[in-house]
Amino acid sequence: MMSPRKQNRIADKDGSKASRALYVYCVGESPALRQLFEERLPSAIEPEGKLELVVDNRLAAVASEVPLADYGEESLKTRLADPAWTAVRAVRHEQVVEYFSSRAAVVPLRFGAIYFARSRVERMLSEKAAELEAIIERLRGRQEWGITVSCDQAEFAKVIDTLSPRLRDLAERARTAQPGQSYLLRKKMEALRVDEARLEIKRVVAEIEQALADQSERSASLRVLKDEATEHGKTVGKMAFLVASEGFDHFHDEAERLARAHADAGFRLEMTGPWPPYNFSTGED
Amino acid sequence: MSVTDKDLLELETSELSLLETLDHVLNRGLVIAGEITISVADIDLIFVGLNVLVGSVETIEEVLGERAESDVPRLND
Repeated sequence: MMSPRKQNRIADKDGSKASRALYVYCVGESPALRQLFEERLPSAIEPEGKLELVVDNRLAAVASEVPLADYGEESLKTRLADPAWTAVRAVRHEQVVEYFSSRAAVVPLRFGAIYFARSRVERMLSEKAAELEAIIERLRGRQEWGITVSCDQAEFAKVIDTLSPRLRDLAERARTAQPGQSYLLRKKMEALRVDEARLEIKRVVAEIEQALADQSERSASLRVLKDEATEHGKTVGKMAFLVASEGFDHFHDEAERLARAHADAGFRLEMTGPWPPYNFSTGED
Repeated sequence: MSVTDKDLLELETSELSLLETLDHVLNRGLVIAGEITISVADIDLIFVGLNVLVGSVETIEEVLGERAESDVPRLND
């Protein structure tokens, strides 16, 4: 296949007339990224636009050319409405970011940072240099791990009466009370069960999050989409942790311990990673 | 039947699930406003669509097929 690159060279001065834009994946330190560009690279988000490095002083952005026919403001909206198109691009984005983040300290960007011209990327790098450098320092030698907690509702229902202090207390009273009183107490338990189950699940998720936060440098609780389910039941918690490479064994052991501790109540822990530190590349705290 | 420790903590390292990947790439990461921007509301809508997509086995295989292909590193000279 012929590459249309030459004819469609991105216009630096008058970006609006160009037919191509620059898609940015991640930002890192120039020397480290330059070195990685001497290796075999993964394919870009659009395979015909090869990965390139946009350098401004100490910082550099990994980018590739994309056609404005697909990535222009209006056309992109249309494209993104097609899940298959978007899924493929998202996976390619991830592969590029993963390639660099597993080899150097980089700030991963999320999908869709698109610039009309190389000079605009350079400007972004220089304007945000201090912030980007601070994030790179924060991420150096660390990786993001994800934990998803799911709960098998049927199994959990079997143990909720003993897990919840309120239900435990009511059950105990119902056991020793007169038949009429006992009946009322059991009715009360039924009414309470849904709320108590919700509380108890929340407590377990918070306990897991705290225990793992203690074994990591930073933590973030993530949004669980409505009705998100796994093969092991409903997803009840999702979190991300920034873990230093040398601290990973402790973190992993703790996750194992928690998985064991809560297995009988129907909880499962799933650990994913290492991820590019997407959840720890924003804000300063 | 006893469950081994390994079964309790599922550790996925190599093949991260497609949905997890999409979630990370689309919802998180430093938002550097490029000159063409996708609003947060758009991202939410996209994600709902993708959520439906990954529920369909055929499409997952289609997407992962593409993924496997592009896994082969290309020489970027």
